[in-house]
Amino acid sequence: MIDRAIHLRGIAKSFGNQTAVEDLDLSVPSGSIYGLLGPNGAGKTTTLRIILDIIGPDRGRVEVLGRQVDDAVRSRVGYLPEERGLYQRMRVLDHLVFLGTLKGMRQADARAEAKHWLERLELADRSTDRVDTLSKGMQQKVQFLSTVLHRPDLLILDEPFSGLDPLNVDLLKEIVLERQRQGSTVLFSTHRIEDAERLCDRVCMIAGARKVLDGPLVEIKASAGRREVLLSLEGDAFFLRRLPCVRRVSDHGNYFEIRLEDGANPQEILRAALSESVRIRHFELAEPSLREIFLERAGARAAEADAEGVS
Amino acid sequence: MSQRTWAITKREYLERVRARWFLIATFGLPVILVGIVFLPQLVVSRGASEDAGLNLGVLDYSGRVESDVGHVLGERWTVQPVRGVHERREEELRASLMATSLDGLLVVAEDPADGGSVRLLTRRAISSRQGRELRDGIRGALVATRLRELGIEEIDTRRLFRGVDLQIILVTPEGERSREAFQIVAMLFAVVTYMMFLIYGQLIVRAVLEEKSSNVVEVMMSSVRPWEMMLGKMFGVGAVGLTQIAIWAAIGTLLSLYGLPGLTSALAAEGIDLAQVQLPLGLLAWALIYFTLGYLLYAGLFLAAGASLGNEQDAQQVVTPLVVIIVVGFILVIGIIESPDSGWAVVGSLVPLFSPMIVPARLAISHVPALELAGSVGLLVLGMLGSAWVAGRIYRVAILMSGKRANLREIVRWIRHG
Repeated sequence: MIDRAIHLRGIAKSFGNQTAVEDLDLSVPSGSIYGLLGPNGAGKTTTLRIILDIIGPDRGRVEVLGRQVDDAVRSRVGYLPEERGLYQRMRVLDHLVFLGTLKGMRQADARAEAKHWLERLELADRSTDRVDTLSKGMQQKVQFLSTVLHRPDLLILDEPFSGLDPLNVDLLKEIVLERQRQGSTVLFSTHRIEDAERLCDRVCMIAGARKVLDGPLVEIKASAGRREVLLSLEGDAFFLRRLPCVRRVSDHGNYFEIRLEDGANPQEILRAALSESVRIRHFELAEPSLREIFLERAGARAAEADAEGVS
Repeated sequence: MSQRTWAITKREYLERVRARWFLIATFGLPVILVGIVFLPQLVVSRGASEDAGLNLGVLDYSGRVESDVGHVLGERWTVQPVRGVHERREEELRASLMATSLDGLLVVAEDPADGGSVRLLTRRAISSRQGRELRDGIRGALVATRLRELGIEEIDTRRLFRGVDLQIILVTPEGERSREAFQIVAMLFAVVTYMMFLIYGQLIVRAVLEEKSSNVVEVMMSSVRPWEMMLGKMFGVGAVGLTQIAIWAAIGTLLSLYGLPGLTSALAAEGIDLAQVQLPLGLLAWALIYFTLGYLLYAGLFLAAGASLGNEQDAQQVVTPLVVIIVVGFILVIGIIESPDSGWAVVGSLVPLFSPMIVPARLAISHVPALELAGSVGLLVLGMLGSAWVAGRIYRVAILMSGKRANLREIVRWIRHG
């Protein structure tokens, strides 16, 4: 067993004079669920395409499942691209069998597997319908299904949950976790950090073509320290922004997520709240959410870039 | 061929053969084609029996040809001399024609032997067949008049003018071929090749565009190499074309065995007996080889064009030059069928873009030297490989581009650097 399902070293790729990925190292341990995070346009999709050898990097080395990508590797990988696409005029079952045989499955096996999965995703009654008669959500499920049909060792999912209702999101997550339990490695990209936080055991964040964060989720959170206050209150919360001990306030509607300055005492918030005569409903010292960490890091990088630009 | 290429070929083939389009094209095209070629002839040959008799008057100012004209034309039509209109004024002539029940008035001015004109004023449409017959009849009559004036009497002008039916027969190692019949075969080869290249070229462009616009391409690229995908597409679509040709060949064979009343008689009128046209297997094999190689050559070019385009509108612009090349090739073939061993024919047979259309047609009606044939096939194979190579380079990069269209400089860069 290879200990790293994906290993990138010094990857760079630009299109024209636009840099999509710059000097990226990435190591995805076998059997992990790895989240590739970043805002839109950060270079996530380009990175995935490089891993899959759909496009070649300008520089750097790519190793997938212990070797350079070749036909054997391709047939052990399942890929769900962000831009979904199926042959609209093919019948659902035929389409799945076709994609299965492209991954080296025997026709009969592909057919049996496809039937099994259609059953499970409650699409069995649509298996002889043409793809273009399916709703967008159903098409997305069919496409997702095509990525697990051949029981890949590596599953690469680009924004897998976008556009799906919560019920189907849970169904897909369940399948992803099941694949992991059976030994597959899962790499998925998303701009929705909450998804990653719930599902991943490791994350890598990229912003502006560069990596800003990489490692096990637990460690990332631990290193950020417990300097986060979750606060829910009745009354005017404006006073929070004036407190010297507060670095940043994120308003989540029902509650505030407050980032404190280094060395600040959380009790100061309580004290201030009492003197402002607002009613506190909930007060919690918490780990920072991945979102907060990301905003901080991405912001720091942006500031860095600004500083470089000025000097 | 890898399992993946085979799977793609199969998909492309089955999806197309199952589509309604395939049935319409396979059975609609021959009907249209036969219609274009034979409908005018059907109209004409039917018209011959419908040509009504003409009631003609002959007004002979020279006073020398009336009897001969009346004699010769009288065998076919009713002819009567007209006198009394001595003024040679147009209005009077016209008025006198209108006053009678005559269909036409044949006006012979001065002696035609001295360059005088002969005119037929007519109230009815004269079919071109009737026109020909009248012209021949009058010519015969005038010659008879002159011969008689030279002292040669009792002349059978029809015997004098009997034409020679020259049958041109090409003798080849595979047997004899009537030039007239095989000219039709050559034309058939040219038309089928021409149409198939045009139709299937466009089909490939559409297939590539569809793949791009529906984003299937990215899924495909994670499973197969661009090269495999390209070949699968070319083979699959090409196999549809071959299937179509096979169906047409089967229909053609049945027709030549059992005949189609209108068609057979129309051909017979042109002096062609369908039963005589036995296509030598060697000729068919060459036609198939050239078709296949030529198809692959053009498929590569169309594929590259389709891949480097963003949408259907752009597609037309880039595809048009290819279409023009194919049309030029077809125009060349039409000329070459007339003189199959001309310099144009020999040069055209060596140009890979044209040879798939030209050589099968030439082989049908001429003898192409072995060396020339070898050179032609060799160059075509090279051209085909070249086209596939260039197409592969372009396809690989272009297939993932969406939205904007590549300019020529970019395309050249892809070809050079991959």
